Amino acid sequence: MNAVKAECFKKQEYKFSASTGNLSGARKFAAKAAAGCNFTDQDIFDIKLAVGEAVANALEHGSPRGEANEISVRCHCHGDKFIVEVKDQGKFKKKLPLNDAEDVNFRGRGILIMLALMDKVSIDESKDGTTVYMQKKFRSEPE
Amino acid sequence: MRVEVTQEVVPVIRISGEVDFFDAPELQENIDELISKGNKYLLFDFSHADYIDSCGIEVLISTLRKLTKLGRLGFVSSNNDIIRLLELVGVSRYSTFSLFPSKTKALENFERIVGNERC
Repeated sequence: MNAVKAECFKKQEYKFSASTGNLSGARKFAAKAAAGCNFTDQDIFDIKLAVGEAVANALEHGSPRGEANEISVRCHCHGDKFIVEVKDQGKFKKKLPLNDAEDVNFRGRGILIMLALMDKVSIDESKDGTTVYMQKKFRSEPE
Repeated sequence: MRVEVTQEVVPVIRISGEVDFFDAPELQENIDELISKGNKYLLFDFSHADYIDSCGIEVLISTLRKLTKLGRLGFVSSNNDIIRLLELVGVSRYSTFSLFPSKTKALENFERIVGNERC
């Protein structure tokens, strides 16, 4: 087995106003950071999708003042993990865990997708906003 | 996202680019208009799309519910990430959902269904 080696980098941050037009840019930022860590294409898609879901949730529920609010996506490597934090300025609407794909609405389905594609997801609510923390481990690949 | 609707044996909704929180409402409008005209068979051509999120998935599920058991939703894609996602969220489990590797294969299938109805 060859372990995928992470090229660790300093914490990268992408801050933007809470406009739906910035959603694609936020996804691309996370995908580029993951690509720099030698993740497989499948893992990069998973990270891009999970970050997209977290940012969409931040746009919908975490930005009470609309485009006057700010969202940040921060990525860094720690040991064998790739860590992403998506921070907004509002309240999170859904509680973890959700486990029934049939009964959830699209936003609940978004959380389900994050949980399924990342190795760890946690949500921290504070006075000044909500932060979604997600981790994905570097996988070993067969020779 | 770019959406083009053409009428072949069934309406074909060709989607290019990315379908997300930003674009999904426009796609839903296109689909609702087709369903309101009485179409019960629809083909989503995702051959030129490379991303769909939970909002795009919701459009698919909402369409499957509106078409009911009498209808059918065909979906064309060979993108393994998108196919994996459809399985993950349960879209593939709908009996009225059919995945096709190409538009040609999908239209052949719909021609048989529509042909059998006419007999």
